[in-house]
Amino acid sequence: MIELIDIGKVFKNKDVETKALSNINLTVSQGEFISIMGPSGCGKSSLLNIIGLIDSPTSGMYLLNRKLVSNITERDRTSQRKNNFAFIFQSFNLIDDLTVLENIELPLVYQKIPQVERLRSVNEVLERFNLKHRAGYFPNELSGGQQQLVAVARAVIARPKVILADEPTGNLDSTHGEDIIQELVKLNESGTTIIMVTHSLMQAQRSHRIIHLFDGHVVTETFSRSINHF
Amino acid sequence: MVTLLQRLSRVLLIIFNFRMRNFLIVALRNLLRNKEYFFINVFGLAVGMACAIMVMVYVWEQSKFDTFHPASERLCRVYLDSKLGGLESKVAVTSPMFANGLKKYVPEIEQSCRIFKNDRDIPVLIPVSTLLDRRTLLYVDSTFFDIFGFKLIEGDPKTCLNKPRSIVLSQSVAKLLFPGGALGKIITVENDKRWTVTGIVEDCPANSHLNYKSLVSISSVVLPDMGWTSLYLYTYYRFKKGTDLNEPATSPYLGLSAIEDKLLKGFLLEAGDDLEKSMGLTIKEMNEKDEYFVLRLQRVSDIHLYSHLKYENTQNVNIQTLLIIAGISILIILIACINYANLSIARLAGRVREIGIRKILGSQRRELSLQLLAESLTISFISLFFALVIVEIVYPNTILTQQIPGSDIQSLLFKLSPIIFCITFFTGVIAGIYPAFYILRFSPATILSHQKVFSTGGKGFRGLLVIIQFVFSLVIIFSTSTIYRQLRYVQQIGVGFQRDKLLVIQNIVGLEGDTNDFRSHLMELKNVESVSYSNAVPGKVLGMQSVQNGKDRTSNLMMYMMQTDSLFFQTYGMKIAQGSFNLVKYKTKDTMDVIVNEEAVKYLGLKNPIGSTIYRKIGDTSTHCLIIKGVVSNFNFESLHTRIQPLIIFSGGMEKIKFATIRFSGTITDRDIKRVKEHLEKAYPKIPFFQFSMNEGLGEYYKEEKSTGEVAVVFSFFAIFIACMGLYSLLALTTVFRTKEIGIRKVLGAGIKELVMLLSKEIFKLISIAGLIALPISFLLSYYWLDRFAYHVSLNLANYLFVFIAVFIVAVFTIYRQLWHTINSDPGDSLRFE
Repeated sequence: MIELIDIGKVFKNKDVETKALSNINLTVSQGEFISIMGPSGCGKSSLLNIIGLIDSPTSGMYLLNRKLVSNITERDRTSQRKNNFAFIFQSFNLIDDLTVLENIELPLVYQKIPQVERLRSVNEVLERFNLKHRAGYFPNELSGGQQQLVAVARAVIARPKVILADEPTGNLDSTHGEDIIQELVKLNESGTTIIMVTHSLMQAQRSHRIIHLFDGHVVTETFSRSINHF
Repeated sequence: MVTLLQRLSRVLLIIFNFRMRNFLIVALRNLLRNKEYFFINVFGLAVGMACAIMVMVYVWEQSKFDTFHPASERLCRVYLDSKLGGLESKVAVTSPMFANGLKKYVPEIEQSCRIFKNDRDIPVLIPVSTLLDRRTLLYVDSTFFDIFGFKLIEGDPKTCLNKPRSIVLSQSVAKLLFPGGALGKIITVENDKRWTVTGIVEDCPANSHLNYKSLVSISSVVLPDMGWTSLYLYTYYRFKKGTDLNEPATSPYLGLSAIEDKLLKGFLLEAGDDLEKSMGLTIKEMNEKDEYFVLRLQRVSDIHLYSHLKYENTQNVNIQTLLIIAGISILIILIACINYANLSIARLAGRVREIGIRKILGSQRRELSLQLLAESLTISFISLFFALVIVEIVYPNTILTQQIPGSDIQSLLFKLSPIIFCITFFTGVIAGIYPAFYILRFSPATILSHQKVFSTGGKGFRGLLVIIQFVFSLVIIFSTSTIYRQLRYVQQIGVGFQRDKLLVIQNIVGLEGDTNDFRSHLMELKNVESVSYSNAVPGKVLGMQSVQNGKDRTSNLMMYMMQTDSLFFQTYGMKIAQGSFNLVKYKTKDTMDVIVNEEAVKYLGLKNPIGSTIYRKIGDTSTHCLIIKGVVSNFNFESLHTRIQPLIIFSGGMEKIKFATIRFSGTITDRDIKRVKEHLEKAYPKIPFFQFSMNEGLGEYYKEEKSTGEVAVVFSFFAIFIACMGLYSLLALTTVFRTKEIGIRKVLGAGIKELVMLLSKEIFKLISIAGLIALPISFLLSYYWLDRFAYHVSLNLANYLFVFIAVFIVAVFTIYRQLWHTINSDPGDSLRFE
């Protein structure tokens, strides 16, 4: 589903060039749950951003569903993102001015789903994540765990093929963190491909495969559990 | 006072202590880090201040007209205010008898002076062949230099205008005629008259309503009529020290002051009989009919701004115009201030952490307030510097200075420096006060923990400021568009005759019996279609006369009179409403045919005007019977400021004609005018002719509105420019605050359209609200301005919508770049932003 060939990413800042990624080769099949681990600044988030078409690589090729997407226009990237990916961030990235309901609804708005259908889906998701009583709340009125739960709800509502989670439990205590991981496992079990960046080996071990990054390179790849193919 | 000084010194100490210096350094770094906003702040404020300063200088100059005369507070011009035959009239000219004739009735008069202007230029034969322009050639009494404060450079001010044929030349004319020294030299004018140069006077200051170049003793000219009711020259009085010019008359009549009452009583004693004869009514009867004829005084220093009488010496400025211009400039500086405040509040978001930390480290609330105020004052004074540079460059080339040439901008700025300083100071305080107090309300913990609240905080207030800015801009632009539409209207409106292709030749009095030859000469020229003679032309109509309706001879009616030949109507392309245009000069000695306009038919209350009679008194005993032969469709013979008045046109002897009007077959070109000029100079070398196109002549009426329009256009441009600069930077800042949100939305699949809508929706909502608020204000102001015209354009919603859409498009273009930049950036960049 996802194929990265010799992907490199360089950040330029005035006179300084920082190599975030180099020669990354990675293939992700549909239904896989992959964890990316490594020390801070090793390029985990950069890799995730490139996979999610949030960022573009400086070099290499990126094939998504066997289609080259590394050099497509912003418009096409938006379209690909909309149809394939959903994101969960460490800092939740909810929009402060929107309520829980509106935040969850947003991806459907951009997919131009009719309002009635949208509300039905949102209600389903709110119930599923036990957030119904918080529907009218604003993000800053919720706890960190609840905010991340909203972010997960927002990620799943559009039934994405791939969920990209960037340290989804980084800002949460262990109980809330575990809740989120369980949700991700459930989602994976229902067929969603998940790529997660994490610092926690325990959480990483819940995935099928762990990619270890160091200084922008893939150093090792370990398989923790087998894939349940659909 | 002591407490105040103590407080002031304490404030200064705080300002200059170490911490404050530290604040200023940080503030400057902060300002320079955001160069774009710094530039917008400084430039916006500088342009706003420059506008305000330029207008202030202009208003100052306009308000200082004729204040340099000695005892200017006691120096007055007399004018006549009347309502006769139902028509109200205020005229600046008086009888030559007023100056000395009324002195015995008003002992408070210390000195008087008359100024007479001939209606034609005077050709100079020797030393050089030239013309003394009728507009700047004044025939004055010998008391001229006693009354007015003009400096006589050579000659004796007491005697230089005593004798007939004495002329005092202005420096520039003297230099032109006699480069080697003019005093005592002889100037030979038409008919070999010899005038002696008895003095050299400074060139007329630009801020005087008496626009002279040469002064000739009034005894050098034979005045047309010495009757008390013949009005054709200006009379000035200087009153004795201590005279209260505002003291009301003991028996109040039409708001006359005691002095005006004395003048009127004296006038009625001297001229009551003449007046009654010419009006056909006694003063008592006039009063009974609610009609009047009074003398009023106006201070010479008030003439330029407040006097708008008939037959003014020069065109004065309307105080209303001045207020409009001043109002616009105040709005512009407010727009600039709002820009500043808005940007400052927005910029505070970026400094929340700095201020929070300062508070934690022990900075006092007062110090922080002062710091923020010091910052805005710094920007304000930097802006002042650039504003002065703009004024120095722009002001000498603007329409504002064209009205007062030679004004010295530097000395004026110096004079106005305390006001300019105050404006700058208050601009800085107004712009900085809200941001200063806004942020200081919160505790350090709140500031540090809720930085996000601050970055979006003040959004409502910023929105309100944007609305105010756009309300101001829309009001200015719509008002300007109204002024321009009205100006176009007065230039294009059908005035009841075909105004294009008409060339008027003035000063043809000298032709006498030669009119047929003159016409033949002109008709020989290429493109000339017809030529007609008259004693008046539209724009230059003679005075009114009292007439009586044939059916009711007890009523005296005032009507305008005009004398033309029978080709006049054809030449002007006027339309006949009833009857015919064939005029017969005199049917019998006392009977003649006339044409009247439609307004006269209404005024006289005639149902069947053709064949009706009007009576016109000639002297004491004789009466002319005027038989209406035709009715001409109404045409504007005065400006569109006034309604069309009743008019009688009759055919008379050619001895009184003053104008010849030529109709050309095509648009008048410079070549046509040159050809006419050359032809006349060749055929009539001794008669100085002047010509003007009818359009040009009528345009004189709207000179003031034209300059107001030009000034308004320039200021409208500034207003919208500053407002858009504010909009641009505000959007830029808003976008910065929302960078992360934009990233999230992008990640969630938002496309270009959705993001454009998201970012622009709010700004367009604000502009739309501004549009709704500005609508009634704009209409009200435009209505108020248009009210001065009897005929004017109508105000409709379509015009407003046009202006609104134009502003909207400008706003779209303003934010386009910013939007484009944001939307095309990588969402990864946006998400990294924090």
